[in-house]
Amino acid sequence: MENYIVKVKSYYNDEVIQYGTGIIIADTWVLTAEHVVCGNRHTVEISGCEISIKEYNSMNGVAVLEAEKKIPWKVQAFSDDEILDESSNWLIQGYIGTQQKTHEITGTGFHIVETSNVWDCSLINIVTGSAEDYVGLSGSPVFCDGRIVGILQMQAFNRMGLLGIRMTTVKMFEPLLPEKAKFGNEYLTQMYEKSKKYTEMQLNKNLKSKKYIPSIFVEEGDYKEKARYFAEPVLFVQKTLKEIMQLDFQKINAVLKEEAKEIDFNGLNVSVTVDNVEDVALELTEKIKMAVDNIRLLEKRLYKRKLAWSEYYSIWQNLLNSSITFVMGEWLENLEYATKKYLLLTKDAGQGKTNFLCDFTTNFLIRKGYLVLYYNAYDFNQSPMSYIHKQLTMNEQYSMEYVHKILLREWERTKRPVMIIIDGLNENTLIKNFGHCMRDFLEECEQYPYIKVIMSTRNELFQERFGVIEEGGYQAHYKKMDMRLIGDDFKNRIFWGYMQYFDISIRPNALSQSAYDMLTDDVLLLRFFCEVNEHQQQIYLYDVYKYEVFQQYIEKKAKEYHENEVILNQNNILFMLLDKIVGYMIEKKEFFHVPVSVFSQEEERMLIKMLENEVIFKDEQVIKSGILEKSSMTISFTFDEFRDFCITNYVLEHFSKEDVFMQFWKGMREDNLTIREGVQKYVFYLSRTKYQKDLGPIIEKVSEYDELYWLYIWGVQDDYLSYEDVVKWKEQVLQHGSYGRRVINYLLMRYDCDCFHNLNIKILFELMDEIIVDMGEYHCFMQEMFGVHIKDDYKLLYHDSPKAVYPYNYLVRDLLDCMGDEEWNLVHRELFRLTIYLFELCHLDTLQLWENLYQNTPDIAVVLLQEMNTHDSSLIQGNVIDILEGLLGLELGDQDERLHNLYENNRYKNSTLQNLSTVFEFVLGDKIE
Amino acid sequence: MKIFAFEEVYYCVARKKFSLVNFERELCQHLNMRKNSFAYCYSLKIFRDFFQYFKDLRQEYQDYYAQEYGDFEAYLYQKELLEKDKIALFELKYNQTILKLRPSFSSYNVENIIRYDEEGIKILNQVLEDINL
Repeated sequence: MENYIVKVKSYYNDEVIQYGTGIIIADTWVLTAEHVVCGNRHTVEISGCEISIKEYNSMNGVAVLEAEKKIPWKVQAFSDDEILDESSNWLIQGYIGTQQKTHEITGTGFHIVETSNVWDCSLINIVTGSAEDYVGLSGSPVFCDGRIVGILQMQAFNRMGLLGIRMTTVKMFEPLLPEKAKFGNEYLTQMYEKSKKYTEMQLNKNLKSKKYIPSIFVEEGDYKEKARYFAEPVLFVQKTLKEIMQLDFQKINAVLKEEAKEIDFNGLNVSVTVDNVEDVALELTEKIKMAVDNIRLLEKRLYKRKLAWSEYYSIWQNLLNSSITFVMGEWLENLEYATKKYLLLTKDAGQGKTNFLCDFTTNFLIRKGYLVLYYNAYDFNQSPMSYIHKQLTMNEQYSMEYVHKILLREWERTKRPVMIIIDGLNENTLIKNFGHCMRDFLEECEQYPYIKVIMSTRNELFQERFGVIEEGGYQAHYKKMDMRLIGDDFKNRIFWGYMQYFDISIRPNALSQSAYDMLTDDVLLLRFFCEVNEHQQQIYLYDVYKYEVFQQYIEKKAKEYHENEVILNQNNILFMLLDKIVGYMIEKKEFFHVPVSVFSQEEERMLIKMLENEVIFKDEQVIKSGILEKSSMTISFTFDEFRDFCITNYVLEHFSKEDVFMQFWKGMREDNLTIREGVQKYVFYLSRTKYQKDLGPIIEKVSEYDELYWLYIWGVQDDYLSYEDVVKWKEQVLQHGSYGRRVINYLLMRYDCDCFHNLNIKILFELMDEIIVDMGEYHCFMQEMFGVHIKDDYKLLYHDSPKAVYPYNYLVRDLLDCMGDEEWNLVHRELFRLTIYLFELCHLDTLQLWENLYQNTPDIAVVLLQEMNTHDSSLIQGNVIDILEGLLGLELGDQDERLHNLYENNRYKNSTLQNLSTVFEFVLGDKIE
Repeated sequence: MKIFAFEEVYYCVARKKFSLVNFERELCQHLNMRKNSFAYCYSLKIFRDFFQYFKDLRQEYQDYYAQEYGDFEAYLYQKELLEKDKIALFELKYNQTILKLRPSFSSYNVENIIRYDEEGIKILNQVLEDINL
């Protein structure tokens, strides 16, 4: 017997006239049936001692008594939230008879009768503990599912003449209870706690593996908003309704009235509740569709009406020239999600599905107190439903029947679903035909109105693996959300978010647009890049060298995978596994779908880690085995380029003889294998970098070397470029080769000579210094590479793209726009030098540019002019003079002695003046002062 | 009051419980134009179209998103995708809200006028400067 259940006696003139049972509900309060305390003095027995107690409060046949002193125990288990029906088990504990012996009664079934004001429920089907007289038990707690659901009130004979018992449920005396004694449904309380704990554990797993990085989550597009509608329809349908009610259709209705097609949402001006949410969502959807149709119809009719242009224009401008139909379309889409039960998110591999789901679970579902179960699909080795059953019944502590009743009731009360999240369907490796398994699971979910499921999988091979999901009988409740859209906001935040998370800093002004685009277009590559560059500071990011990223990534992962294992060579197992995959691919000339069956158990464990990191992905294929064809699990590489990189490494490490390598090379090109492009690229890169000594001479012998050189040399890091390359590149420009323009573009982009030591813009200056000797040639060069482009604002020309590599006026404009602090100007100083070479293409804007440069950072301007003032070419010296004259015209410039000195020392100016003096002397026959 | 234009999205800082009726009343007093003249009506129309379908972001945050985001600024940063330096520009006080203005709901015309005239927002803000709603 619980120690908070106590004996109660009521005396009249020192004689006990009533025995009962009480429940200690607070420090000094005891609850019992009101009829127990019918005498003029009452006591309660605590640890064998009778303590006086007096009536304090009562209602509906239930009394609260107050003791004179504090009582040590109290109960905290009252609930009016348990299910009381014919199949619910109950238990009564109390003190029976005049001797007040402990007694228990158990039974099954409650029968609610709301006719009396002191009791409202009969306890039926007594199983144990029945008695001929239940005196003394009045006020005893009635337990159901671990909670006190009422107190025993009275005994009474039924129509059959059998003695039955009746209770007063908590609902009738709930105001008498202190808040601390009241609890919700025992099962739900436990279930919410357990599901929260479990889901947080799953989320932590993803946090630990860095699949979920909260700081880099960006709410792109409307995806999260749609998920909100899906999870909490009551709140968000109300939101749409409120928005709709704000719209004013008066003007449009004035026109639509003629055809009795007025738009009217007033009939829907209701509060959205759990009872009407589905109806409101459907009606709202219908009305919005009708409104959009009517507006579109009006647009069409306008064309047909043959109105005067002025009238047509006036109606169009006043009524139809707005975004309202577009906005209503968006609302319609959102509302659709409110009525769905299954949501499948798709996105390309490694682009943030897990991050999205984890964010939604953490910041929406858990914060709002949803009952949510989060699964990573790779953990399943049987249908998801068996896991869900197990968790909902708390390992069969509760029957599924009971759970179903409670959750259904909860759903009807709140319309908040039990949310099942299954992340990464494509990552499951343990269940054959997982697509079919998921379809069957969703069909099974149809029996449970309160379950909603959010799943995610990659876009690639979706149709092949999970197309069957879209064929289930639940289609009316199913929605696929393709999260392809990547906006600029997303790119910006994800890029800098990753940099911050992985503690990477980029040197100021050392991030190129192309590198930024490459990394933000593919978040998986960004992820690889950041993982290998973790904690790197002040890096240059003009280019992303994928072969370096891949190489470092493999090495890093090889270490990580064996972090807690004692092995001699940490890299071995991963490299051996990659070799095995690649060996299989080369042998079969099949570069996707390597059957999992070829791997050992240990290798499979490694494969699972690679799957988690999205390095590879799993698929199901029909594979020929002997004369039979059977479905088998296969794996492929996520990145084709990464695969090609691994193949290249394999070939170089395993084909030790030159002729074997050449044979493979030739075969690959002749058969035009899918890996050809990637492998030849990486062979070239490696021949220029890591394996320059061994591979370089071999690859230079192949007949197509020249072609490969000009295809891939642009992706080789500057450190590996040599004097031979400089010579080769110069030749292309000087001899008008086909890659001349590309060379110029490349050199131009390498303006930061602190970063690019070998091939940089200085080579361009060297080239120009060579060409400038021949003025005609120099002018042609300037026009071809930097000719000014005047934009055709009136679109008179069909082809209006610039012909030059970088039109000079664009260069000046960009410099004018971006020029700023000393740091920026210093990094870009060589581009300012270039403007001295090209001055005559656009001299007014160049003068403006130099004035700005001088005013912002006079030292940089003066140093550049000083360096160019002694240039061999009179053209360049002349350009310097023009710029100096412009600067000397400024107040600040005029006071700068350095500029005056430069001006005085300019050889071109001096020689021109001398020449002019000679001419005048000759003409005038006198010395000119 | 002040309008901010961030990449073709318009926000206006205003006091909480902003009302369109009060705004129009106040606006009429600050237009400094002859009542019912063409200029007066046209100016009024521009403001009306701009403000008619405003969304009170603080109210929306409280009604629908307060449980999800730690505070209003977090909501602006994460849900509205406003960068922190832009949020700082609002210099938001505790009794103020941000109205997200949706002129295209009324008509693209007014948005075009503002978008293609560099001074557009500046002129609107000159009028709004003295209105403290």
